[in-house]
Amino acid sequence: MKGGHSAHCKIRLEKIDPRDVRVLDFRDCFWNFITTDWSFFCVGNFDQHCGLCWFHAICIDFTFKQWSFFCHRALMTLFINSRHLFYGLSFIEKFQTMRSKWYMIFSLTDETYSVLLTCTESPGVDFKKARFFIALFHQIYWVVGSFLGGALGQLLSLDFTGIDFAMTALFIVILVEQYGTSDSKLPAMVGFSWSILLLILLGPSRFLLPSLIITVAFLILLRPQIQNKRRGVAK
Amino acid sequence: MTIQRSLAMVLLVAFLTFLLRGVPFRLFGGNKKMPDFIKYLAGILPSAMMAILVVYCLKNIDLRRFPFGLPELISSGAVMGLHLWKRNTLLSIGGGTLLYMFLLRVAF
Repeated sequence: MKGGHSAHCKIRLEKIDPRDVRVLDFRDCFWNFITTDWSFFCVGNFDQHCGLCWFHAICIDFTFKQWSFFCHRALMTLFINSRHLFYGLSFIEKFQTMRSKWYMIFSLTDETYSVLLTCTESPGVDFKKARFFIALFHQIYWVVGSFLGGALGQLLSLDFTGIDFAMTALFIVILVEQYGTSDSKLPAMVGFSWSILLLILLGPSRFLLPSLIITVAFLILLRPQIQNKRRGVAK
Repeated sequence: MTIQRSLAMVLLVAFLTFLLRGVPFRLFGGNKKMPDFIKYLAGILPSAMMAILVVYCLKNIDLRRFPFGLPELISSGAVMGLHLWKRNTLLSIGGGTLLYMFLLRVAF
């Protein structure tokens, strides 16, 4: 855990906030057409049909655009960040007894989630404290890293292209750990196959939420098989 | 984009993300007893989740056009191999990332 943690941070430090890129790339949004282009078209047409002058239509379009921009971004956040719905499930009991419960929920990012997963209970260690500090330090690295990236990124002419692979590498490492220690290999298989299948079918901007939902549905359906396997190992 | 608008946008995204993160705690937390199938999901979901996240990270590779996602796939394989071999997180992540950056610059 410690190794992963520090490796992650060191690499992270020089990095420009990738979350901005992920959240702000509104071109590949599922709702793009529905919330912006299509509604613009309707409002514009509607105004013209009602005999309003063209610049009135543009005015409404402008205010509508402001509103729809926010609406669009809100829907996108819900869509792309829907994965966060599932992160908390594994920590309900663990966070319940912590005084910093709400902070823990607030700071449950992809990285914090994955590092917390590797943080398994063992005697003699205060795990509430450990969890809290993992979350806190992740947030500090994010803030400091993003600031340094923004402030120094333009001054330093070093080319960091590809450093974002560190995040992929972190997830792969944790997948390997999880896969190795779990009794049933089915969950990882189900998640992997469905996400690849839906990536091919729906494309990179739409596959995430459907994959999550279908995977969870499948895992519920496969519960007898998976639990038998787990019990079998326990014996 | 004006500063006020950027700020409003950041607050909106932060608020919604926090809301999403809080949903499971609101639904199944508190003093109520956790439903059995949520306990089951809590135990097995992480490995499924990590598999989906890895695919999510690699979603933009294009297998039909040069370089056919080769830098990503080779580096991912290297991370896996390194980790199975040495079990050293620092080495796996650092090595894989350096290899990826090297492949981008030199090989592809």
